Amino acid sequence: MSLLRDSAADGERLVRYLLGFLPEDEAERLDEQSVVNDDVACRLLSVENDLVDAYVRGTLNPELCRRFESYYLASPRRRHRVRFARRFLAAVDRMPAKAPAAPATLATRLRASATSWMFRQRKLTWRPMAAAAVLMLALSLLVVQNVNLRTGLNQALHDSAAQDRRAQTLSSELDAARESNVELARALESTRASSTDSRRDAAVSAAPPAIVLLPQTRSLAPLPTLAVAAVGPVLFELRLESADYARYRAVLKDQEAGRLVWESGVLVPRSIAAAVVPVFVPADVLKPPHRYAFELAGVGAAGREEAVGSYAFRIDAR
Amino acid sequence: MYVATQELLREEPRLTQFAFGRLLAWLDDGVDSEGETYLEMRRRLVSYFDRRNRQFPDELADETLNRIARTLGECGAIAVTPPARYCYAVARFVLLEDLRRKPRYLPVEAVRIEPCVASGPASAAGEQASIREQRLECLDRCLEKLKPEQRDLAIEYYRDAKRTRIDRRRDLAIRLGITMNALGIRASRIRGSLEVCVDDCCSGTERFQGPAS
Repeated sequence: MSLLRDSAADGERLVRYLLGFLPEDEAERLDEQSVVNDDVACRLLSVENDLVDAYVRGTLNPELCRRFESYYLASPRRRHRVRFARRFLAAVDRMPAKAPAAPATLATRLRASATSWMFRQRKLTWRPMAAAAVLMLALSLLVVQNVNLRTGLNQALHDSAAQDRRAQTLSSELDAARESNVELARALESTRASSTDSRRDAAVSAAPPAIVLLPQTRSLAPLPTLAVAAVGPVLFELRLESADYARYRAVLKDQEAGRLVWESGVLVPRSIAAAVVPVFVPADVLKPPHRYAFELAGVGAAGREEAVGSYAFRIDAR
Repeated sequence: MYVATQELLREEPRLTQFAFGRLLAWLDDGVDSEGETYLEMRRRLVSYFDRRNRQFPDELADETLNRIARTLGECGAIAVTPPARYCYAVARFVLLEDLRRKPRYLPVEAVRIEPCVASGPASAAGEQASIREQRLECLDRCLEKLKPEQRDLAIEYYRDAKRTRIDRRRDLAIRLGITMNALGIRASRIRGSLEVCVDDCCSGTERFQGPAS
């Protein structure tokens, strides 16, 4: 029998049993279980109480309600139960809700055991008994207080140790940050000094000139030959036949080796009217003597690139 | 007018104190319950006969237990275990006999009237109101006699209806650290003891023994 394994299903089955809906053989089995099986007997009582309460509160569905009135209420004893339920539920609803106490704590258990001990000693005269009770109560309170104090002390020690560890960690982190700051300050100072020297040198020497390249044509014009510095960026200005794009991209190819040696990021024309695209190329890319060529492509709105010109040149020994 | 009476159904003399003690011990099956097992078994038998729509379920339950006590007296022991199984077997015979038995009658004036009936020449409506009031007073008194934790549990358990009630019970079971089933059993026992207390109070034989918790 599956009784009590599935609470909801068995609850429903027990309701049907109580309302006489079950077939005779099944009802007889439950008759037996309701007397022999402790679990079933208790559950049946609980389900019956809930059924009666549902009737009293008017929460039974119409079919069950009709059956309840025609079958369940046929017995004087059961009518008596319903009358009791009416009064009981009215009393329950009148009373303020108050949650029953949770399982006993250490303190309540100690007090309970003290009470139990006093109960066993009731044959003693009341004076020693009262003294013993007071002593026992005081002792139990002391024990509870002691336990609480120990717990509090341990917690405080634990917290203190944790705070010490945290302080040490923070102190180490602070020292490291200070050292780092000193190093940064030194580096900044050094950078500022070298920057001042550079600006001074730059002011003395002339700014490097831009190398202007024209797009290659089919004519047999001689290849421009350049000499560039060994360090620093080399500025090229690539002249456009027409400024059709707002953005460009350039790659530098070693024409002798037939490989790509450098590529630019997005390039923006100096101005639309001038139709010139400035390109800075690191000097170390350009190895003399060698032939190179810029391949310039315009970047469309969708990011698609289209070749707009080729700029060949030769680098000679510096 | 005539009605069937409980007294007419009683065929056997009452048990002696000794026989009753032996019955209690047999029902306890080695664990002294101080009569709790007897009361619970009687309650189950009464409910059984009542569900079978017998007119006097209390008498049939007592008849069942009397027969078992007599068997114990004659044979010294009953081999069937657990005792509850034997109780059911005997109860079934008592039920069948009662179904076959022709009802016997007494004049209606002789039938015991319901407890809590107010005395005095009051009108019918006033009498009913007085009965209700007396029963409510009894209920209040019995609720007051419960241990505070039992009273709180009963109030919390039986308050509200439907979903709210289910949620409330689940929370209560969690708070008490017991299963819903155990909570239901505990609440039913408290309610059962209240019902008995109110009946006793109304019949003037007030005694109260809270459920074992």
